[in-house]
Amino acid sequence: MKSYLSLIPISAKVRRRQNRMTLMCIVIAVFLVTTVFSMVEMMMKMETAEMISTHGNWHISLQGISEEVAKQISSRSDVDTIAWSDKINEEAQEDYFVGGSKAALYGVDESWVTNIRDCLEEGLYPQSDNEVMLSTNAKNILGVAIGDAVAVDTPSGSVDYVISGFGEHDPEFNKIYDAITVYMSRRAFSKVCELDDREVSPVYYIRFTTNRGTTNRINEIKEDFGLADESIDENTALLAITGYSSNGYAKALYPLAAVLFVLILLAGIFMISSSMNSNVAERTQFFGMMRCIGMSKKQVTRFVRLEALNWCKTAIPIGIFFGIAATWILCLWLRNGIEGEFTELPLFNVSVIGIILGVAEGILTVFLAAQSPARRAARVSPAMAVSGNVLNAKNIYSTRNLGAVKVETALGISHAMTARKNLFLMTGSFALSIILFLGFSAGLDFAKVLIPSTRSWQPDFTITSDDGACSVEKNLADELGEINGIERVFGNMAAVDVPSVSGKNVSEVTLDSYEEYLFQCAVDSRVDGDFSKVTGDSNYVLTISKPHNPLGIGDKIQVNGTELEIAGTVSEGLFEDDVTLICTEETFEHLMGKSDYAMLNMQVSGSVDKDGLVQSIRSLMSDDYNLADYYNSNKESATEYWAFRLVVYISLSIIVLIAALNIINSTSMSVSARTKQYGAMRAVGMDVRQLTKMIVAEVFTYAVAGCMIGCVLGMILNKMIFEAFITAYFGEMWHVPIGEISIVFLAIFISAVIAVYGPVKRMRNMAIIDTIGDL
Amino acid sequence: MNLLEVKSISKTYGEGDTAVHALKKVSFSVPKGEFVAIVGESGSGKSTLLNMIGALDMPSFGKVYIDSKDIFAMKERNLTVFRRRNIGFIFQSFNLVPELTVEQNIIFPVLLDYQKPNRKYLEELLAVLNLQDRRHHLPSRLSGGQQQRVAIGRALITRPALILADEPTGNLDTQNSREVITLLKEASKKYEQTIIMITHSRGIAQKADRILQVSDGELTNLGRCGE
Repeated sequence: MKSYLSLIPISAKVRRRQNRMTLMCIVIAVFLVTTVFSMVEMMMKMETAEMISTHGNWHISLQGISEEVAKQISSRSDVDTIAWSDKINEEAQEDYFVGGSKAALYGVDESWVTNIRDCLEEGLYPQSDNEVMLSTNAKNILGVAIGDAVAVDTPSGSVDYVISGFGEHDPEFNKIYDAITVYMSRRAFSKVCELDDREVSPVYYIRFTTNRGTTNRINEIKEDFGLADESIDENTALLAITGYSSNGYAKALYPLAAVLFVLILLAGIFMISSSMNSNVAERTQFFGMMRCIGMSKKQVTRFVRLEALNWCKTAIPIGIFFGIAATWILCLWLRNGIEGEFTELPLFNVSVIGIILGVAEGILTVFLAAQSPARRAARVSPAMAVSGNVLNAKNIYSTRNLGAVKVETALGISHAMTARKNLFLMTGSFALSIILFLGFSAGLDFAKVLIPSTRSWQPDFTITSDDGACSVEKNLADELGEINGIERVFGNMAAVDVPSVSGKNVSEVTLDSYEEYLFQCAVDSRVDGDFSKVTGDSNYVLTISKPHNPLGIGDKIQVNGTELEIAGTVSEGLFEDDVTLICTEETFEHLMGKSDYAMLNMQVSGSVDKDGLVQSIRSLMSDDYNLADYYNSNKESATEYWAFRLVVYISLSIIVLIAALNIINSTSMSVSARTKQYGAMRAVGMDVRQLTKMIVAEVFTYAVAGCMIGCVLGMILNKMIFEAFITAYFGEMWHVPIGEISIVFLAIFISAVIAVYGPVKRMRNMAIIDTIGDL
Repeated sequence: MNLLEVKSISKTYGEGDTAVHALKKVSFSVPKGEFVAIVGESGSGKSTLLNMIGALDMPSFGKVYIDSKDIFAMKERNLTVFRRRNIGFIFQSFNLVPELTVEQNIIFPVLLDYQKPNRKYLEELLAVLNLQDRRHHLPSRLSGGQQQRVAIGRALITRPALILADEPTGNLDTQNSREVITLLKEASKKYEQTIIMITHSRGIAQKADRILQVSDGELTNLGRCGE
């Protein structure tokens, strides 16, 4: 031994079992940070790939600049790629067609296709003015291949081209399935514009060599070429995800990530500190003895701090290893299990940031967490080594409830109540878990109502008529229902801006008919009222609760000369205008004199061959009908909801885990500090069962107090969030979240049982003479 | 009639070359109502012997009979109940429950048995121990002598046949030591209880009816005091 500090590794070897809990806490803290930040990096990579795929791989775009200015900008050393692009009919509102299908025309440079959008899938970029590249869906819709001739119909005439290749269609383009994107050279595009007598307004896309310093570059370009703010556009989505946007909203995300880091840091300090306190409490006599044989307070402090840092040698690599493994497993699961945009997640990547932050978390939290236990150890007086009496007489309160409950229960409750600071922390920890859990669960409810695909009636495909009236034949529903892969078809009639007369000053309403399935869904979003009245050709209707809808249950309203009564209210519906009335198909026919549908909605079952399905649907459709495709967007929003839920559940798991570890540590610490007392109790006749009951009573005092405070405060928070975001906007009434509360109770109960198990087992396995020390 | 019979008790810690023989075939018996003092050097094995008699530790060999019952043949739970009802312990460092008042500490073994304490006997004990005025005080507000008197009260409350005291005066001054021993002797006579007490003090040992000496794990009967 070179110095007294050489005792640290020796002590660590001897106390391997006792140090296990502290080591586990450090491993968990490092694991959490490594996993969270590795996942953040993987998600960033995924989002970057997604953003590049959706918005293009460019930093800024300039509008209304001359070729000369463009040339000067392209000669800047920090410019990596430039490309011109112009487009016509990107909203499919004008009469541009390819083989009868609506078309959007893009006049672009080759680098726009190959670099900025990277959308070339097959063949080549148009090599001459009479060549075009089409979006890949044209192969199915038009049945064409590379080298085939294709005519592009414009309002002023038709132009013939040869297909040079196929590429992805612009994801920002509208969702009308059969619209085709036509990519052509800028010269060919100019000719079309000339033909139609329209002005070109090309946009100049720039990608810099790095993301860093984009804001400064924009300012330089603006100054050098005298450009107005409106003529410069940033690829905010890409810059935000890579962290270099000047956009205020995007910048607000980064402080949020920093707050998350601090929260985990604090949680880590809390966990490790608690565990180390327990460790120190177990060794009161050891530190007292050290003080007896001459160790100064300062040396004890240094000893505890270095001992803590010594644990990092083992715990940090383990935490990082598990963090990387967890990241890989999560990425694998998200990629293959949930799919959607997660298919862009990188596999088996190692996040350097995650590892660095994991190591930093380990060292920083251990060092900070060691301060309080080190001071506690230094405060141990040499006398404590002799007496072993670690309980502070000042903090002991009399056990008052001895007559009301059994002695061991009374003592257990008293032990919990005696440690006021601990009781406050433990109760607070449980209460905080419940409050956050209920707060988050209200957030989940809010996300659910915001995301359309989570609604049970959200269609994957919708057929509407060109004129927007109720002219989609009813019997088409049966034919569509026969198609393999279609799970459900439901139609609805609709009439907007229908004149009405009401005492509540409602002069126009939207009238919407529901069939059986839609009524079933309406019951799920019921706010109030008797829905059974709305049946057959009755004069009862439902209405959607909205802030600007004055109608309530019992109100009467005249529509087309018929008086209707509001029988119930729902929180959401197919059409959500200010005043929407929902009636049966019979009532709609009676009021409006129409019997066909305004809309036919289809839901598909599981994974389907979408292209084949669309072809089957189209084969049954009349040319006057439009097919809207929500299949991909539903899948995407379902993925987003999944991702949101995942983040919420991981956050909740961390919160509950911290509370659980806290109660486990605190119980272990409390039992360790009272080992001798328990030994004496056993010597005078307390049996193991009574000892167990005493520890159970102590732990459950914390848990019950925490549950009571947490439930009251948590439900208030839950109600406030629910009413502010859901009731106010969607009308849905708040209910006691029994399910969530049950989950929290179960989690706390399990943690309490685990917390009791360890110390009881330890005490049970110790001979009385080992616990008592001397008789 | 013998209340306690110790038959060929041996206790060995460790194995082989490192084996330590704490007790070597110790045998003795103590009749009901006798006050026995055990003396010996530190590490001689006297505390180990007391732990065996109190069933706090298991012997390597041998048997202990209390009131003709083989205590090591009992199951753990039965043994706990037996200990609670038949053996009173007095510790050197008192080992009172800090959250319980004087009265609650004294009745603690009765409460562990889910019984109601005999109020008359409790009042009598409080009077004998001179703790009436302190009955609602927590141990932290008592002197060492008072705490040890509470511990004696706790040992007597179940009227156990056997009281084991491990250096009960070890943490007390001369005056308090004298009082504690006097109390123990009085109790032994009044309630016909057998007391086995470990002490380092020859003076205190002289107050006992008989003195046993433990040396290197072997027991020697030093005979009756004054003999």
